[in-house]
Amino acid sequence: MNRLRPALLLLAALLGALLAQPAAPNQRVRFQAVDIFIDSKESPLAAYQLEFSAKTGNARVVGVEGGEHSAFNEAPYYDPKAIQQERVIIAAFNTGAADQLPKGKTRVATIHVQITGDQSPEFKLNLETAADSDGKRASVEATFQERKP
Amino acid sequence: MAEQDPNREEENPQAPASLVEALNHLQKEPLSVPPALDEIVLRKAREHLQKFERPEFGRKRWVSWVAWAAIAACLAMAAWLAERFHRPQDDSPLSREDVNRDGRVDILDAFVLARQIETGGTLDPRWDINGDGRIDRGDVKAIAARAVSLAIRSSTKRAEDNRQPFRTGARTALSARSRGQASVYAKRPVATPEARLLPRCNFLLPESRTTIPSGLGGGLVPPADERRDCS
Repeated sequence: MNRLRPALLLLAALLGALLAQPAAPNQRVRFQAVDIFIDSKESPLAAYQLEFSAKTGNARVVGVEGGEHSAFNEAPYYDPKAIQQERVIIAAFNTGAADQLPKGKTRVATIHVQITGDQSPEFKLNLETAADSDGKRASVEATFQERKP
Repeated sequence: MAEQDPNREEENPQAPASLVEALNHLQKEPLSVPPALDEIVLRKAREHLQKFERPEFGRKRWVSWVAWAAIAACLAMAAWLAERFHRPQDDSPLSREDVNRDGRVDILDAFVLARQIETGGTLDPRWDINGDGRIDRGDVKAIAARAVSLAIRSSTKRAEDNRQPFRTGARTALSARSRGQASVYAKRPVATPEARLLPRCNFLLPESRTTIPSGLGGGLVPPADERRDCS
């Protein structure tokens, strides 16, 4: 019995350590696609740069997708360090002619986020710059819309 | 019997005649002091007299040193402020990326440079951002990467926040100097929600996003399957 005492003590310590650990929170994880729109009205949209961020802290960027128009179909530029972060700066441009660029409201990108918990995240979008085909700054409007599953 | 006065000799001193004669005899001989001895005496005298220097002299010297130190500190601070607020923007490392010279680096700089390359416009040698000796699509990518870099943006914002109370007009130029190197640029084709565990490294480098002819630096375009470690 004396020989087993250290082993039993060790086993008891391990069990105690395991039981003392807090239970892992069983938080629900879901994914959400957020479409980014830019409305350039009558001017052709040639370039844009905007910052997307989640304010609540329970959403993280997991991917960036291109837009619907062929001019911005490819994924925009972004910092890969923004993955698994709460904010990302995306930007894209196209040097095509004006008739090859989108006008009006168009989806320029889609940002995929991972949401932890049941709380709905609060997103923020900040348009930093946009330009028309001549390279001049254009007055555009940027909006986002959470895609319905 | 009268008492003898002890001060009587002092009132009427009388030297012995032999002493007077000897002294008179000494004065007739020339007195010569060796120069070395003279120097020693002078040095000892100076050392002795230094003990009786007026205290104001030392204090004045101390005050003088403090004044000179204060002047030097003021000059150093003035030079630092001048360098900080009046450094030409052309000397800042980030000004090269500011192609359109609007005081900030964003995607419009990459756009302008891409159009310049595409249309065969004049290319400033300073636009060789990646330092490969050519101005091509790689430089456009470098500018775009810097425009979307979170690290640079954060440091810029901090710098601007710190400097804003002092001089608002110089925010752009000052913040540009504080920026560091851009992080590794990469693009991901598409990330879908199904990809639950996305790798954080080995991002695909994009292919050409512009319509730059392949002849313009086409040989320097990295292959599509080139990967870069982003960790």
